[in-house]
Amino acid sequence: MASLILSPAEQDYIIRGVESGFRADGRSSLDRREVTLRTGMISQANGSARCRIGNLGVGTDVLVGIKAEVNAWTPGDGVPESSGVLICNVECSPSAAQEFEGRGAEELNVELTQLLDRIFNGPQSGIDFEKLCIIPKQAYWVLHVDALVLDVRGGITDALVWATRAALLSTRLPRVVVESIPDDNGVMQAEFDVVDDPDDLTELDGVENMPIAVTFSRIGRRFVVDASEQEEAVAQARMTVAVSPKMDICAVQKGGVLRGFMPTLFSEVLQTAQTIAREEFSRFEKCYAEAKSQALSQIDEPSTGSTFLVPF
Amino acid sequence: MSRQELLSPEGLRVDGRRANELRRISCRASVLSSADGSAYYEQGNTKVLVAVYGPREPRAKAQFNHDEAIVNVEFNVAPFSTSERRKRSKGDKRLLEISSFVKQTFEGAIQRSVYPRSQIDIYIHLLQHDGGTLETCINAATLALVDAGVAMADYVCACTAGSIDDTPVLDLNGVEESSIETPDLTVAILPRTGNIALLQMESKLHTSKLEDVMDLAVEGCKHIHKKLDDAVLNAANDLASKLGR
Amino acid sequence: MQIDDIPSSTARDLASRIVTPGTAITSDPAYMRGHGTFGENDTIYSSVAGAVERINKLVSVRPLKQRYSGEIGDIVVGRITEVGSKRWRVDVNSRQDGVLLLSSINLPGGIQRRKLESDELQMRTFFAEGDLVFAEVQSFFADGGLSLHTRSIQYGKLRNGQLVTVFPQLVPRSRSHFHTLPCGVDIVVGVNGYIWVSKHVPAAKVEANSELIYSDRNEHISDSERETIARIANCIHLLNRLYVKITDTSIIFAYEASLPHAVKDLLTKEVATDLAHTVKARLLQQS
Repeated sequence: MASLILSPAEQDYIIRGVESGFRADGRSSLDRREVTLRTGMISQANGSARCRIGNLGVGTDVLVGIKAEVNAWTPGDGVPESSGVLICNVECSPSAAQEFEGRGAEELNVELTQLLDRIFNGPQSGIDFEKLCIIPKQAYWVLHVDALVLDVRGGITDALVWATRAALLSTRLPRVVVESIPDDNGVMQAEFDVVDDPDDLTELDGVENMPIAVTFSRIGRRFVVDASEQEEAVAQARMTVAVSPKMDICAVQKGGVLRGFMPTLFSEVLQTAQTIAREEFSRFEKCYAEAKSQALSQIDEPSTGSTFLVPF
Repeated sequence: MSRQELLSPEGLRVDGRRANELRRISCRASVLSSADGSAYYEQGNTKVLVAVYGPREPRAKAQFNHDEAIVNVEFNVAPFSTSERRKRSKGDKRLLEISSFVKQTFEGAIQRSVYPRSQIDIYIHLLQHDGGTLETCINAATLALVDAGVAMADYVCACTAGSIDDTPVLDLNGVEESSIETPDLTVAILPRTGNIALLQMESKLHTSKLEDVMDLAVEGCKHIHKKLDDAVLNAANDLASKLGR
Repeated sequence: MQIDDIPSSTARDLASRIVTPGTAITSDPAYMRGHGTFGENDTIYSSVAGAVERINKLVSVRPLKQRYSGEIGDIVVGRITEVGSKRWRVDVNSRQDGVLLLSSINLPGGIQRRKLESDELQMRTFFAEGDLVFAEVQSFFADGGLSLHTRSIQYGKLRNGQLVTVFPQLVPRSRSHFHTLPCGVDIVVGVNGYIWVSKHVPAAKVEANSELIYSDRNEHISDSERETIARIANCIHLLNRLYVKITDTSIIFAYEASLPHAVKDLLTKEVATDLAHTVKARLLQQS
């Protein structure tokens, strides 16, 4: 997505490689690069995760922090009476590409924010938003999902979804006690109290149902998953498919303007997405378990558990 | 918050430190793969990530300088970094001020004449905020610049100090810093010569106290220099041994 | 930190020390200061983190990580970033883009042909933005910029393969930077850290047809050739990430050791670490 100019000979080499089923780094069309996942590096956030897609320490690098806030419900602000909300925000850092300096990443930020929102904000994400309501028509939780893209080497979308999924899974909210107290007129009024105890925290409900994303890039006459930065530079179309653990399709987004996906190719892509998603879920479980044990082993470390301090 | 709470009768501060004690510092260079140099630096609960690119071809052809490199700093505060979530616009004055301070500080320390007609970019991310933003940004940027192999006359090391109940205190955390009665002094030094690269003070401090507070901050800078130099030496020795020198 | 006052007799100790910015190296007036150092009050200080090097009386510090800084005669691989009226600007991973003048390239149809006005109008038919060139550093401009030339039959536009970027510090300067490996792959190891890995094309073929110098078309590349190119590229990538010197020898060692593994597995941490160790052991054995 960052502008990378390749020579005609390089472009031809990549396209023919994909068409003959042998990509420039030796992968075949459905092979994915390694993923490294860490959680809990932002101790002041309710949840956080860092995800890198790429081999030997070189890859797309995304950091996501979750902040939960209690909002007062006001009529007309679009929030349902008995539900909480999730607000996504993606920022691409100039550390990933010089053209992201200043307002250079604005368009891409909006595109990625909307995509993340489409996947996570709503019943399709599996998150139980009703549990995020504290008192109907009075107070609810807002989950701010803030993502920072630190390095771009192809596959931002998939990395964003991995990191957001891990960050939401690791999110802990303070417990809220709701009481009914009679007011001056003797009418019972609901009031709430946020328990300020770092050991009394609750997980989000339904997060285990969150989807995972698989992005396909159409290159030449074929498509590949987990395209490298060079492959993205020659891709004619891009399609992201979000799949739930129950193999339901939760979101689809086609990007890239050069060419369309043929309808025949589309059904093939959806089927392949489900097959790959199944593998990705088990890979995610493995990476997340590793990240959790890493985060735990660092609790007593001097460095408040930051994954930036260990080789990542 | 009253002053009594910031410093207990036993001389301990809100986070249990003594007056002249630094917060715990951990840092690491080369944490990002694309940048020419990068560093992660945490001091207490303040955490900063810096990427350095360059010296490289200037992006805007019109702004290059024929006899030395230009330094460009972009400072970004992650929305989740503060206790209350807050998204700042790129034009936020406080952000621009910090970029400008970091830029000026390093314009003095980088040997810019070695790199005519080029540009050095320093991109800073504040990932978590708990006081001492400017000091951590400067220390992290130093580490990232050294990691990128940018020629510098010296390290730049920064530290804060303040005064609580007339006691000079080192390295203010978020609570101490936000107390309006606590004067807050940020000093950056070039440790080899001891020259002061940056000095900034907020709130008021009696003239007779200034010197003590300043001395304490400079002392802190020297400790930080040792920390940074250790990190650089470790990384350099590691690479050198891999190369088999 | 002071490693000062070293008598000349122990000058050997001066070399291979790791120093950091601001470290005093020597105040012996007999020494001259080179790259990575600066002088102040008759003392030579380091300005970067790296190893001290001494050649006769010249003291310099070689940084362990830095962008490429050129020397005349260096073989580099660069990418065209801008096409001007009589010159191209070329990214060579250095502190500013290099310059390739129209007068510094061979024109098709005879090496000795004079440059014509029509050549200026068709700069892009020689090199366009994004093209990769194999060139040599000819001279420096007054501002330190590099002037490149491609006036040799082996230089010119790169085709039939892929680029791998490495730390320039890992590429030692040597007599030859263009190699045809025994596995049938050509490599151009640019001193600037850009390495081109491609299908082997006999030099005679290009010599016979000078139009090929500026061709954008790849030759036919078979699947097995593609696999070998990818294997070499991955080998170079893993040597780079594990910070092992990159020469034709180390690449061949890595290639040979990699053969039991599938190409795509070479970049997994375990395999890469294992291969890097094997390469280092063989290099040590050789020297």
